Amino acid sequence: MNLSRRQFLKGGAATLGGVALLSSPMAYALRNSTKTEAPPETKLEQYDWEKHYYAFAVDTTKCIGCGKCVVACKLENKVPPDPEHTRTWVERYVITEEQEIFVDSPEAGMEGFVQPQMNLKYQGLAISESFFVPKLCNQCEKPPCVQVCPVAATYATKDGVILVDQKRCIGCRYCIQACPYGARYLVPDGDVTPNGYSRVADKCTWCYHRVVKGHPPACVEACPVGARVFGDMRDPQSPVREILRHSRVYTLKPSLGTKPKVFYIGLHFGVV
Amino acid sequence: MSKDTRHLVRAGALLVVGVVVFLLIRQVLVPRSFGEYGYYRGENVQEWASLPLTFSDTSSCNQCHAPVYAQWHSSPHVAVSCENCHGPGIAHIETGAKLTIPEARELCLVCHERLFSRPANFPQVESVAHAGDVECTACHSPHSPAIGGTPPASQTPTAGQTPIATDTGPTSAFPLIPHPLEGRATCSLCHRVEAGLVPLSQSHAGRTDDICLACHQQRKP
Repeated sequence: MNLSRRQFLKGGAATLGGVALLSSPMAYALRNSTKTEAPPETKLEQYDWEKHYYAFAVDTTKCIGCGKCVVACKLENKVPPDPEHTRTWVERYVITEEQEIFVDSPEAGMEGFVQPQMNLKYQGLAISESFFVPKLCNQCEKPPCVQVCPVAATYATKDGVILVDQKRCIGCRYCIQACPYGARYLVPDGDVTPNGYSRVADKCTWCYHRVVKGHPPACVEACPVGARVFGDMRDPQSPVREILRHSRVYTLKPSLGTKPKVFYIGLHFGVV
Repeated sequence: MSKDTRHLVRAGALLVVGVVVFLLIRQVLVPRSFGEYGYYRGENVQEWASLPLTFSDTSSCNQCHAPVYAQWHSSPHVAVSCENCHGPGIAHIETGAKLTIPEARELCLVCHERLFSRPANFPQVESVAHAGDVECTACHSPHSPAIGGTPPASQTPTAGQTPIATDTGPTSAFPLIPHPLEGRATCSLCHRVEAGLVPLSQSHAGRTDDICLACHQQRKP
């Protein structure tokens, strides 16, 4: 078949126009098909996210390293049971008389720190101080993870929590690289998130499904010594506001400008 | 139409078609709620918010287990939530699934074994020196851990109701003596019903030093 340039262009334009005309009802149908998805069971009508702005406090002078928070988090959020993939963990800092600093987090802290093999390497050391530091997502005001996501799959809610849209996440791991706190992980093959996705980024949500219903995050509920405190910055009576009023608090890696919303009481200068 | 404008119309028409096609494709590919609140899929917030709970809170435990709740509530263990030892409660509340408690000794020692990293003011013991291999619950009720603390309350289930779990108190009838006796004057120097360093339960009122060892033996080292 011999086509002149003119015929080709005319034909092409007609085809494109036809496709456009035909596809508009198709597009409409497709759009509506996604619309008919069953609505989520609990509509949170009485919850107004503009009225809340959450923050978290960790009192490192109280933590006893029992690891109950890690266990509770894993159960509440169906986090993979292995220590490598975890939304929260407890670190142990051991500082010697020579100001040498050791940090470890055996089993992410979920088994506690009492098993003899966890303490072998510190035998015979002249320890000057030692303490536990629970870690979790800092839900930064300036989150680097949100900035780097190439598919807009991670975002900050208006009440101040960073969430991952795991339907959109392509598992590229940019956010995992970008987080200076190591708070994100990739859901391994064979494990699924509560939303039913695998091989996507996952992170602490401050138990978003609990806090919007007025319950504290599972780790806060589980802490037997009150080392983890959750609260609402918009509520002057909130325990977090009380802590910010009366305690000297610190954040992790403040020089990075991420503006974390997890405030630490009694944080040692050696903690990173 | 002059010869000079026809090519402009053609190019314009192509451009319009191209834009329309782009908009249609975009319509299909971009999720409906994208941009509802910001540069993300708005529906996802609701998806996270509506996940089911696994852990309940202590107030729901009180609805059925009031006596043991009251006992726990007045003990130093009040800071330790019920589900911390008994496990997540929503399934138990909704379906009656039985809650199981892990090995008691390990459960206690994960918090109370002495560790150099724990805050010094937190109650800690060298478990072997403190009690050998005796179960913690032989002397301490987890709901009221002080020896001789509030006695466990009993709860009679109403007819036809499934029996409600309750705390039956320390498992050993006579708690063992966890410390050496040598070099100590009398038991009542420290152990007294009223104003004792280590309080005794009311049932011990009026008892004298000479009968302590009849029931309470020293723990084997």
